[in-house]
Amino acid sequence: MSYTTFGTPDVHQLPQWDLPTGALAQTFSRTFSALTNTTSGLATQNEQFNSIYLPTGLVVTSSTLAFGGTPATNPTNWWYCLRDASNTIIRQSTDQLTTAISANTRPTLALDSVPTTAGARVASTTVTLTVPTLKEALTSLVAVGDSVAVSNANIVAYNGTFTVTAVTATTIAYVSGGSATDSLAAPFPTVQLASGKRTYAVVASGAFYLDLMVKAGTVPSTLANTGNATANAYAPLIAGRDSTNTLTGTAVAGPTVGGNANHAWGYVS
Amino acid sequence: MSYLTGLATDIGGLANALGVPSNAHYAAYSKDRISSQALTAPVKGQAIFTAIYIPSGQVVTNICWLAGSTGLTTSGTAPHFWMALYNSSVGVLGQSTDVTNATWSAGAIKSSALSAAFTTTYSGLYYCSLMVDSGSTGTQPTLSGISAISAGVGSPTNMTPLLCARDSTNTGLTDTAAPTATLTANTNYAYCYVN
Repeated sequence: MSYTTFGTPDVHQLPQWDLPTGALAQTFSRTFSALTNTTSGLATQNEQFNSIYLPTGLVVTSSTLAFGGTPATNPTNWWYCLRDASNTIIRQSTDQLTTAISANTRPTLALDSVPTTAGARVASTTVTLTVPTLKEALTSLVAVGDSVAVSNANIVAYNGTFTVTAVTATTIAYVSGGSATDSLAAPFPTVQLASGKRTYAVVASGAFYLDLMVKAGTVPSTLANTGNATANAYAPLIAGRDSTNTLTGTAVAGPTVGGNANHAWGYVS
Repeated sequence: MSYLTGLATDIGGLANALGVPSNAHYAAYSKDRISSQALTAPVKGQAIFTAIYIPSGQVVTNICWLAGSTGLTTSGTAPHFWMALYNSSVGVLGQSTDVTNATWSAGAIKSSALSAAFTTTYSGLYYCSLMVDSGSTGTQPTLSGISAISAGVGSPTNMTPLLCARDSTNTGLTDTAAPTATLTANTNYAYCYVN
């Protein structure tokens, strides 16, 4: 009776019976309701990794994490990121900058952008942004003629909605409002992909990571299952944290991720 | 990992050798998560609800709840006691016979048979419901389960569909379950199962 439903065809279907309305997959069942309201799984400027099972064909548009009773104090950068089991970036939300993270809230952010690691103009109106290694080839995500939105560059002229003029494996170019020779410093901007290219369709069922980064005076608490210390002795991690990179506006490629006892509850939609 | 996570996620809703009592088919969640025997006693005349996963085609004969450290003592006028099964839209599917002299000891499992066994028609979320009115001078039982769900309104259990709830609209219930309940989130997540 019940055991037949443990079979392979149903594995990715079963966790969905208690999904919140609108959610497509969650980091773990809501029936694990004795969650801990904890700040210990999160440190300022460190990306927190929360594993989530996503089945083939699932189309991810946005993500949500549950914050607990401690709000963020003076946030300056915070965002979500979706990565694959190898920690490779798939999508990132736009940096939310100083937007409040209030207690007992569940912000939903669109996973519609990709991060950058550099940007420059060389005696020209053309901006060239450098994009870190992504799960999908940049040339499959961005094409000449696409309309993309660049946000939060610290040179104002770089920001706005632009038409892409060139794409390589690692760069995106577009014409900005003025000619100059300059280059960006961190925090680097995100690039919202063109309409129709923002969502991610899961190619193969398996583990992914739903990540959170907050730079703040005091980090917020998340609602987490805290019993993962032992399980995290085995790769891939159920919950992790990149305590090597000191992050601001964007996710970086190749993070060094250590175990984290706290697995935050969240979902994709 | 993900595969195991998927399985672990399901244990709360599925029968398995470790997670549910030996006579249970499906439980609201794994019994090893029961952390309290002192969940707040149900309000007289108000039904409480716990979400449970049941697959399509499952015959539900009985609903079972686990008392906390205080048992039920009926006394005075108009005691009532029944259990009911609801669908995910919180429409009633079946109810046990109302009992006016029910007994339920502290820490004991109380099983009540639906008046007619119900065969589920879809796989997914159902609700087990319990209504206890111990009478005008009776003692309401506490329940066992998960208490003090963290962060109140921020708790994932408080998102729709609710996992633990009460019907605060249909108050003053006596011998009959409300055809349709209006759920309000509860902070106590009482344990139950069906067989």
